[in-house]
Amino acid sequence: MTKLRRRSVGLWFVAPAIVVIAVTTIYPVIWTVQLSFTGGSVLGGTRFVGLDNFVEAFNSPVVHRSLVSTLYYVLGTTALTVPVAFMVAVALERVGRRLNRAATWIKAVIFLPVILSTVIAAIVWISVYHPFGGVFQLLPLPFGLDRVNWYQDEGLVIPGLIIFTLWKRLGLFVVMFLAGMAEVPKDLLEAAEVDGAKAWQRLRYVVIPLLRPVFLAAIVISTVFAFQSFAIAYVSTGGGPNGASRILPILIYEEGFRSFRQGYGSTLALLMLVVMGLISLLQMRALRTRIED
Amino acid sequence: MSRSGRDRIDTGLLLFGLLMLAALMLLPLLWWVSLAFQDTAGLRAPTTLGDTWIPDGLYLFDNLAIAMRLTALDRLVLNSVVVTASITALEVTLATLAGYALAHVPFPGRGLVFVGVVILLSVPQLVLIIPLFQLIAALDWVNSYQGIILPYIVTPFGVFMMRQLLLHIPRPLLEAARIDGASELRIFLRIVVPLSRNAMLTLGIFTFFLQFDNLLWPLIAATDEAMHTLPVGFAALNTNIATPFNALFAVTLVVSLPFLVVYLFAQRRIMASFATSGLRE
Repeated sequence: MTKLRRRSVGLWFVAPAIVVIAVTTIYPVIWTVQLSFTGGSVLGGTRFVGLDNFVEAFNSPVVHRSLVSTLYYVLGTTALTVPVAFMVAVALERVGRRLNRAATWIKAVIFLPVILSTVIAAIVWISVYHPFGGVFQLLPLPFGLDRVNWYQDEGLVIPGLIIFTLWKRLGLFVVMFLAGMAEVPKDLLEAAEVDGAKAWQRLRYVVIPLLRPVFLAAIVISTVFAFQSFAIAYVSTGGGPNGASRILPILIYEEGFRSFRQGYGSTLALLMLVVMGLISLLQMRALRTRIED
Repeated sequence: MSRSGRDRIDTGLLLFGLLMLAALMLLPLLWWVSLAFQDTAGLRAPTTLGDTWIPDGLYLFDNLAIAMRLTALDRLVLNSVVVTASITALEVTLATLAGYALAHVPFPGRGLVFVGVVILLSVPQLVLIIPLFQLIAALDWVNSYQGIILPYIVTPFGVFMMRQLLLHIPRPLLEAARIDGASELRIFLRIVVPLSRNAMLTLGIFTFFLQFDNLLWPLIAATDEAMHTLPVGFAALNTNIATPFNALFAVTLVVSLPFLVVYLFAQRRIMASFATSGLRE
């Protein structure tokens, strides 16, 4: 009796979490799949439409454009943020060895945007990019860079959002790399130094291989975060100009809660899930295989 | 050149680069603060935002007053605090309970539960919002605190993170207490909670910042302005053409101030929390 109670007591600790997660995650996932086969709107009643939503999504130029914008933004953000964060972390670690206080303060400044509310940060950057009185007009920039109208130009809106996202999230990844670098064994680096390895060689052959798990984590997290950048796009551009920055989160929100086509919106959400999953899988594959050789 | 001499030059060059980067990153924030204090009193859109870094006067409170005429700031703050505090308290409590059992109390089906949690980690919020909205609509919880809080009472992420962090509690300590006949609840309250204070703080800080910042779900769950949280209210203020830019900057600056002060004093703790949370994901 006591033995049996002992055996299942752990269940009582987990039960509240299981119940909540079942209601707020598991049930919605199943329901989304079910909804994706329904048509009509919440207001006018829904009905089963088979694969109609999927056919519509695959043939829709709006969805194609959204997918391209999303991938451009997600891959651009990650390709820029992760290497820059790594370089900054290396520099901070190096400077911190001699000038600890200076490194601490620089790190604090670089991390500051991370704790700032995303909505507020996006509003601040509207002023940065503002064509009349933005920060670029106040700097002596060459090549007409001060005249660039980032958020109003269909070709520049995604790069504009990428730069903003870099600014907003850089500190997070710098701190992650620094945490990873703190765990690199000191004697390993000293051994390499004794063997005559130069600073960049120690970096290339000791630090980077050891940090591979951190690189993988940073790449995956940056990708996952970027895919879900609803607030950034919603506040900065609202998906404009002319739909050029209408990334999938915005499109799903618009279909689900503006047009109230919740069946079609669910189809698009599943589409996003599949694309996200595929990209994460590819990234893990790419980094795993390189560990082996 | 001597080894340490070259090292000093390298450090100097890197320091210079880092200082440039830090200055560049501060620029938008300085522009924000500067504009919050300036009186440009014009309309939005084609009019100029401002053309000087040095404010022409201290118009911060005038700008703030304009913003407060356009939005119920006290209501936004109240809603944000209620929602964020409730979510953080619930998430930390329930995730610690579940994480502890998953790490240290064997029960039938534990492996299955853990695998389930790991799989659910990667489900993005956007896949859940449409059904969740239908759920709170069916419960008549649209425009209510419980509706805004519901999806975040406890998350797979919180459970997973606490499980990983609590693995570090030494097993012999728990075994000794069990042999002494202490109940699991007693062990949890007397041994696990004091030992996992740091882990709870890590999850708490991360959850607080994440939820205080959440726009998507509160935007959907609260259609009534009286139930808006700060991010929703600011987003609305931003799309309202009647809002002068300077008012927007003043109000966002004032709301951010407490965060900046807390950050100034607890930056190390906050960064550690974000780094751990990131790496556990």
